[in-house]
Amino acid sequence: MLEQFRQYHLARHQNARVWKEQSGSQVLGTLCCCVPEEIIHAAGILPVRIMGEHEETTEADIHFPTNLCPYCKSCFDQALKERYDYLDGLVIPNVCNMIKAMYGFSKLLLKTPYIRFLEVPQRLSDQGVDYFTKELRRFKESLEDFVGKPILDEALHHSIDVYNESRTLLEKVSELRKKSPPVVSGSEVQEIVLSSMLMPKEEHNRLLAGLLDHIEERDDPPEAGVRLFVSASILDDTDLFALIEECGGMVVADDMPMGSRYFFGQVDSNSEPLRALADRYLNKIACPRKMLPEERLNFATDRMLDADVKGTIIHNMRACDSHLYEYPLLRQQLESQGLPVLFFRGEETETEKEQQRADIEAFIEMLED
Amino acid sequence: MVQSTSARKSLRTTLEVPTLRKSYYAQTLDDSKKGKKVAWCSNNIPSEILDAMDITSVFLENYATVIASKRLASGFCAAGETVGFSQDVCGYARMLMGYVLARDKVPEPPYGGLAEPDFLLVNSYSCDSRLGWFAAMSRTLNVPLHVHDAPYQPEGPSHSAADAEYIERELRSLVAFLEEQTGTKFEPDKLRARRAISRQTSDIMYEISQLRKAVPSPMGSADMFTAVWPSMYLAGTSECEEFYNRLLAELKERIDGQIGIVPEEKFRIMWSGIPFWYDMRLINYVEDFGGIVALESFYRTRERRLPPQDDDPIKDMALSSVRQRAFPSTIIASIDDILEAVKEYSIDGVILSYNPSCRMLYVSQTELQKALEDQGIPTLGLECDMADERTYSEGQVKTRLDAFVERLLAKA
Amino acid sequence: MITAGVDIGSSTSKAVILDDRQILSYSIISTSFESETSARKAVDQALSKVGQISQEDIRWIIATGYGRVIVTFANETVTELSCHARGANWLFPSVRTVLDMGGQDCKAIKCDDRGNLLNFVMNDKCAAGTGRFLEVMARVTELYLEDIGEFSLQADEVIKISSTCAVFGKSEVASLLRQGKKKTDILAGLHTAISNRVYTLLRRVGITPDFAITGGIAKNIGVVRRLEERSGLKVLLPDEPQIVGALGAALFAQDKLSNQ
Repeated sequence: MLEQFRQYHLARHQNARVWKEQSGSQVLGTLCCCVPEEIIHAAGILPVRIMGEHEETTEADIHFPTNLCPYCKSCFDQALKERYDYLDGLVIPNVCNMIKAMYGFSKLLLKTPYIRFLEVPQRLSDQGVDYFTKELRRFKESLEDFVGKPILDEALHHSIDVYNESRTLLEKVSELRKKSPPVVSGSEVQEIVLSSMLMPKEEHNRLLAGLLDHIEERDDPPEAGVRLFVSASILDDTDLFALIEECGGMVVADDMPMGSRYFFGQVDSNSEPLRALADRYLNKIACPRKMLPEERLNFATDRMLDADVKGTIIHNMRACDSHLYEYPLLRQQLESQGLPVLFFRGEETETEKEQQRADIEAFIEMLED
Repeated sequence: MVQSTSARKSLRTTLEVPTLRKSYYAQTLDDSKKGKKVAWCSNNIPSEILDAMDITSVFLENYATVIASKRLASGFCAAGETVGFSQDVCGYARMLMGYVLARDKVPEPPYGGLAEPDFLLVNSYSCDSRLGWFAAMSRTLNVPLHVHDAPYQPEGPSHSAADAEYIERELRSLVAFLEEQTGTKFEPDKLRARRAISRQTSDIMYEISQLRKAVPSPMGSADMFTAVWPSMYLAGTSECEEFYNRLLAELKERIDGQIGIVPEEKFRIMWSGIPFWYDMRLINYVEDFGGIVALESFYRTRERRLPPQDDDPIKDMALSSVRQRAFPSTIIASIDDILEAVKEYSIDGVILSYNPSCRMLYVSQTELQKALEDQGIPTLGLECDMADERTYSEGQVKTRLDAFVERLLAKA
Repeated sequence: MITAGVDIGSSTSKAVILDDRQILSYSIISTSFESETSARKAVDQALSKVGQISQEDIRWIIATGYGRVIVTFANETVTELSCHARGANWLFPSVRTVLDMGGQDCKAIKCDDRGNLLNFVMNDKCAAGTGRFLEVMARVTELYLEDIGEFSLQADEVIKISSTCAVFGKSEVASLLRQGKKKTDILAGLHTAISNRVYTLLRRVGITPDFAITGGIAKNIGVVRRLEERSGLKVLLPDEPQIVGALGAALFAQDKLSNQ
């Protein structure tokens, strides 16, 4: 059953094409975990998270200088290679320098018909929630124009329920990797999380609920490894998690935008839907771009202590500014609490995995002593 | 050995700036001694509000350029690197983190160092670096930080009531934070007076921008990179307004007398991006070949302030801010903007600086260069950090400039 | 009319002596600390090969390359970008795109039918496609620089290598060697990675046939072959690719005299 998630992720482009053909509806790409997918879902559109590839970039190099976030560059390279030609639209939120820049570049260089910038306040405040609520209304209206029919309140309520259920299920399965010995491995959880950003939500919920029903009785439980935490700016595949397991470690908790930040906290289903969405997507995602360091570092550290890990691996994409500034502070705070840290500078290349192996092996040996 | 790194200026008004700057920094130290509250600010924090509340503002990016222009950046950057900020981090931030966290490791700071901050103010929308950098300082210095937010508005000026309202509320939050920090009440009248001066200054600067289209160029970037200083750090003061009045008069005088920067102007260049502060002489380099860097991408005032002055000065600021964007934000707008500038200012070639540590500007340079070349406008890309002179290879840069000049002269 | 071009590069200094439009002789020597001394040595060596003539017979000397401004005995300086365009186009009049791969720099140059410089794109701080990068890699693999191109063509498989940055590339190659990978396969990967990076420069400047490669790395058959594969174009190779800059300089000197 676990294999289904992995397969879906691997064949994601093909799957999106099939879905489109069968449903006769549209597919919209999103960047970052702060886009409220519920609104897209309520419009009958399939939201899919844009991911890069560990592959040499060629097309993007003609348009961009060298030293940029490898993840964004890889995503754009994929788009220029027409791997995302099935997308009817793109939603690009106000998050980081590179993603913001991607908005203009997408409009200039891609043929995607609907490209929408989503304003996201960069500070937690009451006026921020008010403003984001208004922006979500504008976004909803523009989607209504795009699909040519209104998004009814019932549909929005329904989508919120579907997404809340998804978050609950994801939270449940991610708790199972924390058990000792773990019921599911870190890389398995990561496959489930990544596929949830790609698959129609109802189907994913059904599969995951089915899996959770029987998972405790599985006959092939993962081996318990040295318990580790991963904090990452962006990881769009499960390679690092699998590598850690190969080296005798086990990721039992994480703090990543393509990880637990995606399903942390619920949308209040009793409030006005857009305001409830604004509240969850602003206030419950612990992103260093919005949260001040005191809060951010305590959030991350608490999660690590709670997961009872022996060490933390911090993986930051090269040139990811938000995380670059946080890293020295996070490292200091963790080490002062007795948690050793291993740092990687992400490159999104085909070969980085082999280079990381030796470091992870040494780190785990050190933790075992 | 002291080597002069500053650009050769041609206008007498520009020469007033170093004195203004020096006395500004001396004043901040003096204010601090007298017990005035000191705020360390990022650019785009409205100094008029601080000024109206009798708070001393210190703009760190400006201080970073001062350090860099004295070729002290490498010492400061290295100190920042020792505390964990990698070479991928913005040169300005690395320097100041070195200053804050490893003061025993940095060279003697210019102007006797900075007045110690009571609190920090940063805008969230210019770039990720500023936010990360100020947040890190707030934590390590244990000083309160206030973040000022605004919509990103990728499409440029906005007429959305929601956008204006959000900025207005953000400005009021800033005021509330300052009231709490200083224990004094904000007085709208004081800000209103400063806003009136700011508006007038902005009109003068618009006129200066227009006059710089003249051939031969009455004022090149070698002067402008310095002459822009009062508008950024003395905004809303009569000192600032008077400075630009004198500058405007001098430009008119030069245009009337057909006085250019070089004896016989053969070609005009535009500088796109941040200059290399440790070698501003580079801006003058083409002058030996009859060229002039006539315009820079930053300091062109593109339009007059649009909305009429609102009686509520905070509202006035909010409206001006959403209706007017200093820089274009998307690559599409940037391309339109640079092509328009090339045409209006009779530019023959464009030099684009590639500063990898300033991601926000760096990301667009390749595509801008491509767009210019597609229109037959010669370009030259120079990759160096804006502050950290360790990345600079003078010989390599000058070879590229020579080849660029050969190309321009062959075309002329 | 005798003219000379002298090209002071970061690792080698070259001189070419022309009589009208005919190459009398040339020299290639290592650049020493003092550019002036290297320049003089290069010219002396080229002169010694001709006999009969001495420096006084040279009517005009143009210096190019990094060290050009320090060559006090030169009458004039021109950048190596213009010189490579001129030199390559003179050797092969059909050439419109020149790739000059030298010790420190890699330049994609576009020229018109008379060899005039139209546009150029140079490598950024990254050392990919430069002699320095290949030197580092030769050292890590413990092979001679002259041999690695040939070796790279004997590979059974092309190992993926991502870093064309000298610093990261070095550690990547060292780790592959530790894993027991074959040197030929690693070298094939390295040469492919370099060619891919360099090809990006060519695409940025806009690659128009015919296409020639100049500079020291043109002697590396591994890079040349892969660039041919990547671009789908036949590469025109000068008999002595290192002297093309100096040749261009000497040609500019000829132009100068005939215009007087």
